[in-house]
Amino acid sequence: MTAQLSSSEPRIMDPKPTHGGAPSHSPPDTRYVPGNSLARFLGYFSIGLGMAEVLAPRAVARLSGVRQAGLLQAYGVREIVSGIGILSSSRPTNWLWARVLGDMLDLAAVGANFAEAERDQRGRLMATAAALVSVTALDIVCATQLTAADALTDD
Amino acid sequence: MKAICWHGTSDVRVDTVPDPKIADPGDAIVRITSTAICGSDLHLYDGLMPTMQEGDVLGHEPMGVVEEVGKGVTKLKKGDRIVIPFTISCGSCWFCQRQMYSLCDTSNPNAEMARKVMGQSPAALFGYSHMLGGFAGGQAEYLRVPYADVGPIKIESGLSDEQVLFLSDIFPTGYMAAEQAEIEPGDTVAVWGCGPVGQFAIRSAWMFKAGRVIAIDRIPERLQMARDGKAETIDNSKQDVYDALMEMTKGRGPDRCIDAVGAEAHGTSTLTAVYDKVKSATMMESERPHVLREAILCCRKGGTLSIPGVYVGVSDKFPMGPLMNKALTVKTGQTHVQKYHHLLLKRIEAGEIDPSFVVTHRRPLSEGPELYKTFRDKKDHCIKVVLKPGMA
Repeated sequence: MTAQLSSSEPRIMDPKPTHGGAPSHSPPDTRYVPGNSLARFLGYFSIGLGMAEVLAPRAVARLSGVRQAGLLQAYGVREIVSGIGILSSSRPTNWLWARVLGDMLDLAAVGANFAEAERDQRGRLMATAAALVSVTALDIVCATQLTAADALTDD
Repeated sequence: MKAICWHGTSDVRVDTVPDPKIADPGDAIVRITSTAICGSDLHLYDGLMPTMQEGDVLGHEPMGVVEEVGKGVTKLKKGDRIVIPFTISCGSCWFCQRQMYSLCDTSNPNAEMARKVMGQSPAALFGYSHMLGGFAGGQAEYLRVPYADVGPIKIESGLSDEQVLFLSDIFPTGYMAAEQAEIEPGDTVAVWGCGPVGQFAIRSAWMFKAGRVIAIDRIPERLQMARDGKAETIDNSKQDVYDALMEMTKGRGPDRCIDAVGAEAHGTSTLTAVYDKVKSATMMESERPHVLREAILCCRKGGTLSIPGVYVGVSDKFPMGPLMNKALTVKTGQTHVQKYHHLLLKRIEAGEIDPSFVVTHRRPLSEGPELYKTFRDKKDHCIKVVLKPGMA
């Protein structure tokens, strides 16, 4: 026996979400930003690293194997600006992508020094590159999460 | 204002946060006079619910006095005393028109997030993750209530806060659990979990003319409260639940089973209970469905399993074979509070039930973090905590 649908009963395929008929469409109280905690950590990290590069460029040069102290100071300023940008912005997505770009510049500097480096310097450069790759990965993860959150919560 | 905010697993704090403001003409701002900690808040406290964010205000069982209304609000005015349902519903969509308020199509502004996890988005809830709306909760001094003409119920009698507060969630939840169990007169009803929802499910089962109500738990004061509600009890720390139920029902099993425990069931030392603990500790399973498995095995053939207990993700080792071969009916869902709170208020006003029986702890809002721990660990005979923002 086939069940007969009552003509007054809506078919299950019909119902659509109705936004127009509701008296209001209240926004959420807070925005969901899944990368927020990581972004804050990277912001503080950026400022800390930047200050070390600006205030003690020769020490950083010795430690990292990147010999150009002047370049390190300039990169330090960039790090500080990025860090402040991240921590002071409610939507720091673009600042995180700026960090990723900065990581590329840092890796380029390491690569440029590698070609003419002496043996002991090469070891330090490789360690610096390894650390940079790790931080770059974190930056990319965070920037991607923030970008996805922006896409999800933008009207 | 002061509010209880989530800061991570087992980390809730009283923070100072901005006072809520009207964000939509349909909003109302309510000064909270009483607010409770729910068993499902513990899923947030224990880190089981995804999309929680540091600083989120918790709480979904509030009541208070209207302080301000948006231009579009017509049914409430400043000074009205209201109880606020934990579900946020628009009142106009296909689901709300059919009184399925917890399935509202409209109220969740983060519906896309929920859709990716669940297939479609249910209604937004107060203080219960960004996937379910990102709305601040009611464990605070003030609360913004969206769709204020639809949700809140006005209290115009002299009933105390504690007599009506639980219309926000646990009384309608226990009642809906009993209704969804399809209880027929004379039925034997087994209720797993003698927490507050279980207690209201027990008392609601009698309202539906159950013949016997058997309550299962392991905490002595909770079992005693169930016996005060005229239930027979099984202490699952001392007895095998299946054996006890079969003996009590002459081998048939209870006609209707209610799982009022949910995601964080405490199993016994059985292999599956240990399995659940290991898997959830290593984040390979989002819940511990021990009670569900047990209820499916215990329920009589052709019976009904009603699940008010909150689950959040995916469960392992689910006995689909027994469920299917025994032809069980399963009904579940977040509570359609707005469907039930008027009729339950009438029962309270008529003296049929005084919901305040379930309260064991009354504290200032500032002691909320400590009480979360007490409630979770079931210390100090804690069954239900009511927080008072105005209490010193």
